[in-house]
Amino acid sequence: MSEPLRNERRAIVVALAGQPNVGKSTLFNLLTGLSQHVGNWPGKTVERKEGTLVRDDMQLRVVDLPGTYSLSASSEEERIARDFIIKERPDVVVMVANAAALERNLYLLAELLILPLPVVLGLNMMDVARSEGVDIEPHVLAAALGLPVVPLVASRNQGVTALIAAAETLARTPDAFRPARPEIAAPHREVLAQIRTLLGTHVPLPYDSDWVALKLLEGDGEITGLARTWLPEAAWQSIAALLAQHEDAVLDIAGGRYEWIGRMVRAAVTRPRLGQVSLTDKLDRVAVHPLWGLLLLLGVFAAVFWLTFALAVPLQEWLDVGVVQPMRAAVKHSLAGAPVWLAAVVTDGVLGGAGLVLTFLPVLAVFFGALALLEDTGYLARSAYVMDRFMHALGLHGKSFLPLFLGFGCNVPAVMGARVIESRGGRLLTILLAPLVPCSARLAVLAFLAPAFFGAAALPVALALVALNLLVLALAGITLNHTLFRRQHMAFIMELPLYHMPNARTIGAFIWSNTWTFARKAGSFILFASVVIWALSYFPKGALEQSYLARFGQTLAPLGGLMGMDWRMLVALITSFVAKENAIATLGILYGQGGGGLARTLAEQVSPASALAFLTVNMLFIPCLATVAVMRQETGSWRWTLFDIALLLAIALGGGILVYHGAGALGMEG
Amino acid sequence: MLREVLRLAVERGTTRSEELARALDTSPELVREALAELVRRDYLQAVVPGCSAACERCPLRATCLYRRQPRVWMLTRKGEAWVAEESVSRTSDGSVNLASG
Repeated sequence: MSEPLRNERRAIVVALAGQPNVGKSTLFNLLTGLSQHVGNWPGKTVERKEGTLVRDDMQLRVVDLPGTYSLSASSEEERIARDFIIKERPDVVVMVANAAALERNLYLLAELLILPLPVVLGLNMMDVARSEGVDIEPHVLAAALGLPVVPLVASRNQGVTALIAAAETLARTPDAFRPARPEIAAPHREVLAQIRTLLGTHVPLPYDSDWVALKLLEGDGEITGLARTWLPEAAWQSIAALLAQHEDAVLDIAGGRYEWIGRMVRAAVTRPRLGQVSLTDKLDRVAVHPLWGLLLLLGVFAAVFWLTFALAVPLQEWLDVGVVQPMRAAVKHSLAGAPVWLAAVVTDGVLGGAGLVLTFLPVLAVFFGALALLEDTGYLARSAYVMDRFMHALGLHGKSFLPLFLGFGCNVPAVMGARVIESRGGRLLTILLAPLVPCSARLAVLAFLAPAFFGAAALPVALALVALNLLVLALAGITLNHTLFRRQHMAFIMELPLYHMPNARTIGAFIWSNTWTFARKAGSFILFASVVIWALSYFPKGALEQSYLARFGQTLAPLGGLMGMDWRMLVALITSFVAKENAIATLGILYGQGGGGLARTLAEQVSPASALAFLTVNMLFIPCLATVAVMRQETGSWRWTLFDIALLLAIALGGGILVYHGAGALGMEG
Repeated sequence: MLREVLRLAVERGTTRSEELARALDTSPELVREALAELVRRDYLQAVVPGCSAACERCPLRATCLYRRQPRVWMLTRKGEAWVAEESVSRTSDGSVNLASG
């Protein structure tokens, strides 16, 4: 026998398999050192690495397979790895797994074990697993799997010699390899046997008939194509009929693998739930509890409002009375020689409208700060979960809830978010309901006006109004839902983030972006609207009561009378259509001309019943222009957009009339 | 196990992966893998809560409130069809009606 041939015979072929990023390349480099050949797999752009290693007088040829999550042939890498193992038949496969993510990694092992080849498992990154609190007992895992398991820290060259020794031993004694293979879950075991029988002896080498039968039932595209060419027509037709009948068999095949993984992990891995995870478990016992969770959510909402009222409203009042009003007086004084209208447009229009809106900055900063804090700790995700379950109980469809939840920030993304719902009916319903979610601009108007009107009682009033909004939303949802969503199956699985310490930088950045966006809006949109409103309230005679706006407003007086509102309040509501904050700008222009601050003037001139009616209409009113434009874009229909506007108008005005008369009956008229 | 995940999800309507893990007496990590598998097999789809756009390209990103979002999965059409079929076959046995979840 010639020397080269003897060498050829003695070389053991080792295939190195593993998922991406498990340290396979590090291990390959350690094993093969400088004796590497790098090229491409034949006809592919994927890199092929091969090297040799000599142990005693034994030569091992190590082939590094591409990193793959499974062997399903859904990518080029997976096809290469699978073809190599089936067609080249290495003597042994060394699978490298990330010990810190064993559940994911063992899936590839489950697939390798259904091929007739010996496998050694290298548990890499044991140090990372340990630092993450994952405690693995390799010998227990080896006993459960029925194959050699070697712990590794490849980055520190630990365990590598033991691994290659185990591989070599197994390659020499392949008959001793008796692993605990995953089984297909019960419902489809019989079908698998039938397919195996139908395949008969038609499967050519190097393919294994059992493996082919399993892959056919799993719906593997490549094997299905091949089997069609291998089998006689009649046998193929029978198989195809079985496959069509058992399309869901994949749930039992892959499900069987996960059950197998579960058993292995349960046997050999312990994960003491420490630190963040344990804290999250403890906090979630209350935070996502059906009853306590809901009560906590209400409490948190109340706390956000309380904080806004306690911290920001006094600051806002100071900005109005202490900065804007003196500025108005100073400007008026300095423009004494200028035309009267010029002084009026600057003092009453620009400062009285847009300037007043700018005093909102503290209100928004506190409000957004509180929300960002809740979001950053991970609580907001819990509130979404608690609310979803609550709405589910009311019969609202879960899929529409999450886009709606987004509406608390702004109604525009809530409408756009409805795209995730695939049925047209469901999407439409969500878009129609989105404006009923009180957006931050509406909540800011509420935060400003509630203390102005109700002083110490502002908090319960504000909370009651938010609750009213949600109640109307739920009622409207249930009514429409029972016609549009009937008989749909609902399944919503959430994975909530862990709680963590809030980051001041993240919260600061969030407050900054939101207040800056708001300031730009006040300096453009609202400034423009303020000047237009001022002009309409000034011309033609320079007096409010004879202005164009007054004439227009007075035509609406009968409607206003039903809700106890004068024309100025109605006009404020109408102008909120451009942007919600305009309601304040308009009130500022129309009520605030006497100086002394809008809050005080409103408290003097508006009865509590009228104030409550105004706030109710404000909360339920048609959405802002931007939202309407997005509604038109997303529904693709003016008819539905106008229908929603009419519906919301009816709800808002109906609500306003009911609240006014209800409050009147309770003696809030004076 | 994949069947059980789907069944439990439908029975409960809204559930957390932690709860699924507890009900199936397994680890949250394995449930996460099972959910990923159901996505690959087109029974579930992962959705970004409330949004269809990817966060990286969203113009509202800076002012968006929901960055530490929950991960959410829901049934695909194929998943819904499977549930409907299952519920028919199971009610004919006289056992649980999945549609009542």
